[in-house]
Amino acid sequence: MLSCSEKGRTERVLTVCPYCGTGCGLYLVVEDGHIAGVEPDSLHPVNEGELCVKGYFGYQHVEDPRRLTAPLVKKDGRFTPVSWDEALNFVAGRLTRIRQESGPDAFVLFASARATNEENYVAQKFARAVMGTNNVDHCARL
Amino acid sequence: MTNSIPEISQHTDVIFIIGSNTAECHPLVARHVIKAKERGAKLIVADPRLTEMANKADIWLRVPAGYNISLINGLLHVIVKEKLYNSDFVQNYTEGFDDLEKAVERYTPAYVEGLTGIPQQDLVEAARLFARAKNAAILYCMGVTQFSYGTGTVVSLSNLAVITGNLGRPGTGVNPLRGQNNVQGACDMGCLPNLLPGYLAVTDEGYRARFEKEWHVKLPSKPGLRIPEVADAILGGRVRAAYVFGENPVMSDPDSDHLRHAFEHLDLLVVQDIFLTETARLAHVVLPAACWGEKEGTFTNTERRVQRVRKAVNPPGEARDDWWIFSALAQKMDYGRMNYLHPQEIWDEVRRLVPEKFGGITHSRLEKVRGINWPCPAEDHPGTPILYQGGKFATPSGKANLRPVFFDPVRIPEEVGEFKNALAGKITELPDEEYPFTLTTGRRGYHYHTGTMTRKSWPITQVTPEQLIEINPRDARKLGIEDGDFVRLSTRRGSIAAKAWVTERVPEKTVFTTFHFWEANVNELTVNSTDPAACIPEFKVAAAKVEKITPAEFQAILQEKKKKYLVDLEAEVAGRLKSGRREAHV
Amino acid sequence: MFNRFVIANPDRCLGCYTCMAACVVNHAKQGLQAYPRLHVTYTPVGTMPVQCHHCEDAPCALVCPVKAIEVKEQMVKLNEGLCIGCKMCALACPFGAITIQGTPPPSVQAEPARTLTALLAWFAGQKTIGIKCDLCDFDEQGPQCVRVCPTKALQLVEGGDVERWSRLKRAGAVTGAVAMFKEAEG
Repeated sequence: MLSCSEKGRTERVLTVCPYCGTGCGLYLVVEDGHIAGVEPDSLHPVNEGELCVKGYFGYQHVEDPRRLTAPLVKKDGRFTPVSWDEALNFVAGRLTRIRQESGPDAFVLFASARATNEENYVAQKFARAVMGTNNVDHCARL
Repeated sequence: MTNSIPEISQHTDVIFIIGSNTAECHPLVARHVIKAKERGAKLIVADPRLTEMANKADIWLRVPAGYNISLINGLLHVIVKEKLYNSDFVQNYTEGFDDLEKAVERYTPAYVEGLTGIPQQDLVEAARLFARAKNAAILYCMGVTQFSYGTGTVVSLSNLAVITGNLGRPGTGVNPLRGQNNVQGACDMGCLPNLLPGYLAVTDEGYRARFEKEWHVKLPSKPGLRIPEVADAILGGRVRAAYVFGENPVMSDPDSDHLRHAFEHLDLLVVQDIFLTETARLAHVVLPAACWGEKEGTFTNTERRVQRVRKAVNPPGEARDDWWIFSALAQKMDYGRMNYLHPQEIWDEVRRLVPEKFGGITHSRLEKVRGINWPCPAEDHPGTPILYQGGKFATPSGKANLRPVFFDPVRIPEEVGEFKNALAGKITELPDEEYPFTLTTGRRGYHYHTGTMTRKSWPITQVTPEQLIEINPRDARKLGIEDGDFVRLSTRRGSIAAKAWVTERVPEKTVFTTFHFWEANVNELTVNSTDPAACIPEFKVAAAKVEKITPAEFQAILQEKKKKYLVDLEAEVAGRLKSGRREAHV
Repeated sequence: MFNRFVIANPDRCLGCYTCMAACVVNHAKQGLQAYPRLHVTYTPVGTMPVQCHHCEDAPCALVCPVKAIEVKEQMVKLNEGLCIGCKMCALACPFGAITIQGTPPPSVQAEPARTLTALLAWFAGQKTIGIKCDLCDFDEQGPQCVRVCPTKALQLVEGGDVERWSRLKRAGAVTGAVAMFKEAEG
């Protein structure tokens, strides 16, 4: 957590815009542990110190009050917050049973063009190595 | 992209943009196009809509939605007939030219004008401009691919670049502008049903062995299901469990009501996301994920530039990195080879397994530079911004393959059978008496996809709060529709309602709208027929009708959609999560 | 000295709305109405944001019944505190650069905008008044639209600029006239 800002400090964290495939460089301006704004990266060869409307202003979802903050399991049709342990045990149990009953290809994984390389690698590894299926795809073809 | 973005403003003399609303969907690429123009480069744009790029073009080819192949074959015809192609390049680095020459024979400017309405003179001038350029680059996007013959259209663009020798040099190339921040990376990492990380085929025993050794497990050899095939596999009982992370298919997939219906039949739907999206609301289990800005890792942009993304703030509550969640779940399922502590460990595993592409891209190198373009096999390798340098192609023969491509709106042309390797297509659903409009779909500059993120950024929603349906002034007049009136847009699959934007941006008998708003999600209307090779759905053409409705009727439809997408559930669950945390803190 | 104003070059404008969002954010931060004061306008001949020209003899200021609009400090200034929302300025403006805002569009659920601190909280519909460009005169960085435009299509025009461009155009006119007479003689 070296790059995380502490109370009373302002920091600029260099990262890449989360929207389109252009991959513009930008700094997140962090004040007191919150994102206070965005500044374009002037050294980036693609955006050269400029950004579009999403790059400048599309960061507020990060700290939106509607963010999910706990695992949810639907019980009697109602989403109920549970611990990670309970949620993962539930999913692991159901997946194991479905694999035993219907084979590995009864599982599909929709991966994410929004997540990092590392996360997508781990996701497909989960589908292939843990579940034993090649049923993994994402919205590249959409 | 075969080339990199900054080359456009530095080296390109003629830019051909087709099926890309670059100004709105990739504004910082469009900026390089504007810079190139100010340097004296010429711009050709092919698009049914008068986009801002079309507005700035030296030649705008107003191709009707769906007719790209006719247009490109027309360009090829002129270039071949007038011998404007690069004969050295064709001779030394390509194969299949004779078949291509024969195939484009009938696509005369007059024939293409008859099919598309593009004036012959414009087509001829565009062909000459492109072929005579020192460095010509093609930029394209979903307006090329999202058809049941999208592969064919891409191949015909590649034909155009190849016969004019516009590959392997700065400022040239066939350049798809990819839609998402890391759609390139998700493909690179093997999130495809037929390919392992690094584009290694699952059907190849040798490739599988490479991964089996590292992962300590026997891997399946049969390619898996592709997303557009999933709904029917669920309804047919073959798929019982789905795990969706960072994607909102209930909004983004074609004929979305069909997929929603299928999801309701699953025994287990797990959704891992940052918000309770339209898809998450249908899930049995929802897992809270950390967001961009809260995690470390890498994204790969459309130029194959692998870049570091960094953590700036902590995730809220119990939200966790996606990789952590998959690793924890794997351990619960007794798989021991996924115990990671940091994304760098994961990236190093990727580098180990696919050294030919990613071996030289280390996290420590990425600390010092603004990304490295793969392939980059070694730590002293600078990366590869330009593919196919020196005319070396990734085919068995090492030569670029030219393949004939045919198109007819109504039925697949018969001459396809005369050529080996030929591709062909037709439009799935043409306008008719009942549905007289062509509906084409896309994005706007200010919102992003299903709106999960941009609709939660208030400056953006403040400027652009609502869905708009673009309709040509002549059609609007005939239907008694004024700008800002509410209209209902229907296809054989459903209907949506929104305000009309009466504008010359769309040609007559064509309407355009987006999938940003649950209030009026165009994907309830789109066709789910797909391309046989790439399985990409035909988002860009459907037959539709438009009717004016009253504000009261609009309100009634809005209430229906609100119920259908369980809109109130998001705020309700968020409220409960918040009060739960407050209690826990007390 | 002429009034200053911001103008866009349609050859560079992408129609990307970055200027409009920046405008909203910068004014909301000041506690001013969180609405854009420039409007990206698409036409078949070109696209650009349209905003106040800060006219020297501003018709909006002339018709304002409560003197909420004044020409001063090289600009046309609207005092949001004094404005009564009578709409006369919007009718008088030849560029359509003044909008009357304060209520959300009918198809959108009214809800308070989310801001990071309570200080900045505002509610749509609280006060309906005239909204126009103030050149971000409270901001030492100048107009935010100019600063954020990714293609630098927008620029702040100050009195001297207009005269400089006119001199250039006059010089061009001389060149044109010389060529014309030469051709006529030849």
